[in-house]
Amino acid sequence: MSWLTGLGLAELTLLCVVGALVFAATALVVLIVAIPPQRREGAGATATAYMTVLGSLFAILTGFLISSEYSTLRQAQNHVGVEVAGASQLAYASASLPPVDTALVQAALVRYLNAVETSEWSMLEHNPAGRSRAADELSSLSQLVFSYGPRPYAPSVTTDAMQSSLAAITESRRQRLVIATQQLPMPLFVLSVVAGLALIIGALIVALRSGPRYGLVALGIILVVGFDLSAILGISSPFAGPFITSVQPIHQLAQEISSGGYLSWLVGK
Amino acid sequence: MAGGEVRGVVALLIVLLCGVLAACGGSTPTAASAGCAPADRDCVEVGIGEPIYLGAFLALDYASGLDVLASVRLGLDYLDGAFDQNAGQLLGHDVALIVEKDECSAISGRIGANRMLIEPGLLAVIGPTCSGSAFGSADRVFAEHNVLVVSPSNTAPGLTNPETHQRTYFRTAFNDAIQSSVVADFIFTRQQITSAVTVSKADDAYSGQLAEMFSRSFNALGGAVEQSFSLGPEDARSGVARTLAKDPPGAIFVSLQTPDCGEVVSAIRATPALAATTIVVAESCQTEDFVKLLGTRANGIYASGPDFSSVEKNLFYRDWYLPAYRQLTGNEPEGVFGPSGFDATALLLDAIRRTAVVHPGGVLTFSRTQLRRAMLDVRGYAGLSGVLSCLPTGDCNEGARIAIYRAPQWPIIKGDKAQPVFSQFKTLAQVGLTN
Repeated sequence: MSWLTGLGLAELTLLCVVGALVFAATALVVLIVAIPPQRREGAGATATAYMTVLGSLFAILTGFLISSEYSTLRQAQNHVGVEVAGASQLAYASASLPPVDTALVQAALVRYLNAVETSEWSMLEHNPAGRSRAADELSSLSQLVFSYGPRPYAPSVTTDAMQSSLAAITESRRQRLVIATQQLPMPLFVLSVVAGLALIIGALIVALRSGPRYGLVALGIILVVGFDLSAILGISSPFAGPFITSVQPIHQLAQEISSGGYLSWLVGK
Repeated sequence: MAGGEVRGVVALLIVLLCGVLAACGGSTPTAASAGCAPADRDCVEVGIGEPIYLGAFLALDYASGLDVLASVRLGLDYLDGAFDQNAGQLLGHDVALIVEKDECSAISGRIGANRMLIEPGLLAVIGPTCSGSAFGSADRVFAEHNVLVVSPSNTAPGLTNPETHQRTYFRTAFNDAIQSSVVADFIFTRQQITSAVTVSKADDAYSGQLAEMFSRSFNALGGAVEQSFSLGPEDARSGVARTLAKDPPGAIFVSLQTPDCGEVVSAIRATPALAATTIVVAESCQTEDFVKLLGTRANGIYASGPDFSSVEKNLFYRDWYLPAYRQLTGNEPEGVFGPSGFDATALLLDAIRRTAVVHPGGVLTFSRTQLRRAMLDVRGYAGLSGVLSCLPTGDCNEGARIAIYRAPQWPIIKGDKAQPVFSQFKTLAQVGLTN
C-alpha cells in the first residue's frame, strides 16, 4: 500500500481515473450483454432508486476518510509547528548563557534541524520505523543542554527554560514519528472503493436506459469516483505522496539560527 | 429519466467534487544555498575529511604569547561544550591550528605571515602577539591575501587608525589610546605631577605609539612631557638614567618590553637623584623577568594594565575557564591577554559558523569577504575580556578598564589578590577616537 500512497499527484490521479474508466468500460460491456434492451427500463428505474443511497454512502465514506486523513496531516503539521516553536524557544533561552555557550547550543540545534530536513523527512517517507541521523543529533543536543544544569555560571532559569524547550522538541518529534507510522484504515477504504464501483455501475445502467445523452453524466460520476479515490490515497500519508507535511518551517528556522538571527551580539539580525 | 432524477445526479456530482476539492493543498520543501565559486580567490573550500585551518601567530618566548596560545587551545577544546582536553569539531570538521612564532619585529611579522600563508586553506589567524610585528607588516601581508586576522594582544593605536588600518585586521585587545590616557590621568590628576618623560623603543610600533599617545594625553591635561627617549638597539640602557639625573622629572613613563624595560628601570632605580621620581611602566613590563631582575627595588613602581577585577567577577572565567587553564598548563595565567585570546577564538569560530556554506556530504565553502563582514556584525558580545563590538577600523574592544598597580601589588606577583591604586574605564570615544 505504501508504494501507492507514495506516488505523485499526477501518477496517482491518472491511475485512479484510468482504473475507474477501465472498470466502467468492462462493466458497460457486461451490462450490455447481461441486460437486454427490453429490460433496461426496469433495471434503470431500480438503479435510479439506489443511486442516491450509493452516492450518499460513497460521499460519506470518502468525505470521512479525506477529512480524517487531512486531520492527520494537519496534526503532523501542528507537531512540526510545536517542534519549531520549541527550537526557537531553546535558541532564545540559550542567549542568556555566556556567548561561547550560546553559539555552541545554537550550532547543535542547527545540526539537529538540518538533519531533520535532510535525513529524517526522507526516512519518514520510505521507512518510518527506521532511525535517522536526526536521532543522533537530538541525542547530542540533549547531552549538551543537560550538561549546563550543574554548571555554576549558568542561571537555573536559563537551564530550566532550555530543558523544557528541549522536552517540547523531543515530544513533538516523537509524536511526528508516531503519525508517520500510521496507515490508512483499510476496511473503510475498501468499502469506499466498493461503493464507488457500485455507483459507477448504477450510473451506467441509468445511462443505458436513458440513452447516450446521459452518458456524460455517467462519465462525470466515473471521473469523480476516480478523483475521490486518488484524493484519499494522496492525502493518506503525511510524509509521502502529493500532500505532505511541510518541512519548510524547520528549514526556515535553521536558516535563521545559522545566519545569527538568534545571537544577541549581531546587528541587523 | 425524469428531470428530477437528472438534477439529483448533478447534485450528487457536486457533492463528490467537493470531496475532491477538500483534499487539495500541501506544499513541498525548498532548499537553496549559494556558495562562492571554487575558482574564486576569495573562496576557501574545506573538503570531506579535511580540517579547517586556523593560524596562531604568537610570541612563544613571552608570557603573553603562551597565555594566548593556551586560551586559543581552550577555545578549540570547548568546541564540544566541555574543557576535556579533546578538541571538538567545527561544522563536522577538525580544526588544525598552525602555530607560528612571533619574534616581535616588523621583519619577523612579514616572514611569519608569509610562512603561514603557505597553507592556502588558512582561513583566519589569531595574533600576532606584538604590535611591532603586526603594524605595517603582518597585517599588510594578510590583508593582501584577504586573510582575517584577530589579535588578542596588539594595543598600538596605529593598527586601527583609519589611515593605517588594514581591512582584514581586527583586535580584541584594548587600544593603547585608552591605556595612555588613563596613565596620564593617574600621573597628572591623581599624583598631581606636571612634568614627565617617556622612554620607548625606536622602530617599535607598540612602544613608540604608546609613548606618543601618552604625551598627547598628558599635554592635553595641562602637563608637560619634557623629553621623549627613543632607544635604538645600540643605545646604552643606563643612558636614560644618567641624562635624567641632571634634571629629574616628576614622572617617567616607560613603554618598553622585556628585557629592555627591566634594564632601563633598574638603572633608574640605581640612580639616587631619581629616587623620588614616579615610575610608571606599561603592561608589557609586567613580567616575571622584570620582577626577578629588580627584586625588592621594584617596590613602589607603578604598572598599568587591564583591570582584572571585572574579568575575575565573570563566573564563566572564574569557575570554568581558569580551572581548565590550570589543568592545561599546570600554571596560573602569567599574561594579561588570555581572556582576549579566548574571545578572539570564540569570535572567529562564531564568524566561521555563520558564513559557512555547507554542501551535501559536508564540504564547506567560505567567502573571505563574508567572513570579514561577519566580524563587522558583532555588537555587544559579552566576552571574557569585556563587551566587544567590532568597528570598521578593527577595534573590537570599544572600551577598557585600565588599572594602575603599585609593586609589589602587581597581578604578576599577587595574582587575583593584587589591588590597583587607580582604575578607570574609558571608551575610544572618550579618548578622542570616534572611529
